Amino acid sequence: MSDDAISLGAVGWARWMWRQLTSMRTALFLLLLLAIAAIPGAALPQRSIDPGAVAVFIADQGSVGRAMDAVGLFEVYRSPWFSAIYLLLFVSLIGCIVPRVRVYAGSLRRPPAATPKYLTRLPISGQGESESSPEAVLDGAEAALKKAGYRTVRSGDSVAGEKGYLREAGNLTFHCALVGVLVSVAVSHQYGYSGQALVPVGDTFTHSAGTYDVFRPGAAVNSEKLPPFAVTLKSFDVAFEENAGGAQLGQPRDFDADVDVTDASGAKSTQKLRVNEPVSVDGADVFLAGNGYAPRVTIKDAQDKVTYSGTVPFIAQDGMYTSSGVIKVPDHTATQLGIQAVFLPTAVQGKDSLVSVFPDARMPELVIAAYTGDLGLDRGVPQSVFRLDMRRLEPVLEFDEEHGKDLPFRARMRPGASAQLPDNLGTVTFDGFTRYAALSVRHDPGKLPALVFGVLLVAGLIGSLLVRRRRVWFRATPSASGAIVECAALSDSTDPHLADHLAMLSQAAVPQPVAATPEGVPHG
Amino acid sequence: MVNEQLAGLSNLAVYSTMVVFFLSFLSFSADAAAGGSARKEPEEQPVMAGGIAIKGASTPTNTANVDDVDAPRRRFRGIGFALAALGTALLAAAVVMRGLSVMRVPWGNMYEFALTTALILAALFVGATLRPKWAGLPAHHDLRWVGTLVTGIVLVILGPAVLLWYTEAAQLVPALQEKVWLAIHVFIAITSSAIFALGFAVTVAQLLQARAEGRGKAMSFLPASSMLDTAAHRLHAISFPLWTFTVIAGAIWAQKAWGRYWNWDPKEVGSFIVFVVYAAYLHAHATGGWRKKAPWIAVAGFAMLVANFTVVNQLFSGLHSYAGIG
Repeated sequence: MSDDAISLGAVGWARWMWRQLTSMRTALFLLLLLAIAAIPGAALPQRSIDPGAVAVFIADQGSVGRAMDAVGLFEVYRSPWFSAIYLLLFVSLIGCIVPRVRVYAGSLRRPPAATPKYLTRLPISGQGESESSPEAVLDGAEAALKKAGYRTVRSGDSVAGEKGYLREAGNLTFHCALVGVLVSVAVSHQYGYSGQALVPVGDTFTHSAGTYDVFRPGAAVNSEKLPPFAVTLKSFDVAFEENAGGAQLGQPRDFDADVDVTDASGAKSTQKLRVNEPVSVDGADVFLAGNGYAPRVTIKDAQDKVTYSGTVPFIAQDGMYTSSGVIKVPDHTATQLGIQAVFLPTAVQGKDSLVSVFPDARMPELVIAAYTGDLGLDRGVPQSVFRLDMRRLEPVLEFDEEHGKDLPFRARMRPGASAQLPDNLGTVTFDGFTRYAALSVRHDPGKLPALVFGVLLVAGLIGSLLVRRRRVWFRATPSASGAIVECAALSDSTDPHLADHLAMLSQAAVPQPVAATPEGVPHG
Repeated sequence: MVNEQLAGLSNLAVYSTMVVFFLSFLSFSADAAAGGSARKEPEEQPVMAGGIAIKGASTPTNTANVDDVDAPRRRFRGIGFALAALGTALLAAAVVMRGLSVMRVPWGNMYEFALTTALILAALFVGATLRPKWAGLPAHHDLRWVGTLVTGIVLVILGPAVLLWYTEAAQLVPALQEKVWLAIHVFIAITSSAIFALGFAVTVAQLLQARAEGRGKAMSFLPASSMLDTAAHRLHAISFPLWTFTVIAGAIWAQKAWGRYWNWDPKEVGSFIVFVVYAAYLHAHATGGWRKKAPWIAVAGFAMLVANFTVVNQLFSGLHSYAGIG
């Protein structure tokens, strides 16, 4: 290390670091790093999108999976390293645009750059002679430049023109808008909330933090004071592809819900709720995020006493709506009962098992297995309503004649049918089914600013990339026959037509040329 | 609902397109492979404008004898271009019939997306050859040297489209039944992708030519690498704002369909990466010490674009999964 470096001192070092950070090289490096760092978020399952897939992935990978989890590979966009990259990039960006805004503001007030001394040394330049006086040539040049949208300034024997100020303005707008988008996202994050609720047809969702299945409030949201609106799912219609074959068969074609909305003031209205057509109420938007089947099941003990009766939303596992769900019956006889069930809307006997071949309910069947023991509901740990905690549950067995031994109990039921549970455990009745809608509710105060900045982003970019900043100069000095004319043009971007442009301006500027020599270059 | 006959005709037109483009590709390759005498760049003749001689400007007299190279090569180039124009017309018919068969815009799944991208790319190529000025090329250059690359890319798009991504003509899933944003978001994505592909073709030509120039043996059938650099930069400067608009239009649609403008869904991440890499290209191109590396960043950007369409759609599941097969 040289003496110079040591003598920089703390302030000097800070300045050096700042200059490094705001240099284009660092910005480029951070940009490429950001691109690379974002890749695992697309390639690996992410908690924010599919927590289930993450759990499965970690379980499959063992210790490697846990190590990947520890470094945040399943929550890439909230990980410290990803945040560090984009925050550094934005600091670098701000450090770059602040001085540029100052320079730009100055350049707007300054007249176009003075005419260089040796115009013909510039790569795009020309010279010739005119019969007009120098004054007339410069007048013509100034008029031609003005007509082409240039800001001009006359000084002595020359005129200078400059245009394309929107280029830098667009560039700065683009970069400032990027910062604006980031701030908007932060606002959404802090002051917004979102949640999901599964609502069977006929049911009402009353808006509060407690009635959601999943609720994610921003840090600055008071969950106690959510607007108390209510949404009743009156009807829900579906349509699936029946005609086209291949992968198209069974694809959803239409989801259409009618809802009654009661806002916080008590005003009631009936509205359509469809995909792409959310319903707005009290500053929140209600979206139709998904749907599925909700079988109605009644469970009785051996004494015919009803121990459970209800409509249970099942989660679709595939495109054919093979749906799974569980029923937990804590007060069933002496033991607790857990039912694991699969609902098949159009059940067909496959090679090994029953499969659903169409998502609409053409031949619905419910397949159940039963478990007894401890459901684990009293342990104080919140439990998923879609999964049985198997740790203290035993499968209910049944003697199988074909295999000659006890096998786990299974029963298949059509709507209206009942199944007798073994071991005098009672009956399960499949009363029927309905559909449910997965409602996603979101309040997002950052979305409007994000949209505004997004529009500015594109507008700025268009200006920055498609507007050309050009400078043109004409100089005319007296000669025997009139005036010797020199001109030149400069552009700060790739500009293949600059020479043609200068030729066009010259044509307009010099009305009475001296007859040109065949070589085209008159001698000045 | 679905006009099967039109859909069938559309398929036939696609097959014919592929044959025609393959022949076009062969012709352009023959043109490129023939090598032969160096094509004469027009001499740097000052142009008279208002009695002033301007260095570097072009006039009709400068362009007259540009294609005055040896006859057989010119013939191959001409045949290649005529075939490319025919193929483009056939492909346009295929895309229009596909759209009419389902009475919606013909870009509702991967197959249709690929078909339309190939069409826009081919149309841009034909258009840029007929009107070089639009592509930022001086009038005395034509795009026929990119012919090999463009027809190659069109075939590389159509091949997997027909073999892997073919989907029967049908209506769309509810999330895609948003006519305005489907028309805007996806069409701009297609246009932008096509221009990126053209930019990629020119960038590859630029890299090859720069290497040849480094060895002192510039390839005669290509313009100078500096000129290719200008053309490539211009193409990217057009497609980058379009891509940015694609991402923002996608965010607006996502807000409407899924309730959130940014979900870090794999497709969104992929598009974001494409945006970042091409942003790096544009910055590198404007930065002294990086200008030589810039074309490589553009190549990486195109690789990301392709991965975003193929790998992301087919291997990673996310909210855009319906954009895959089906």
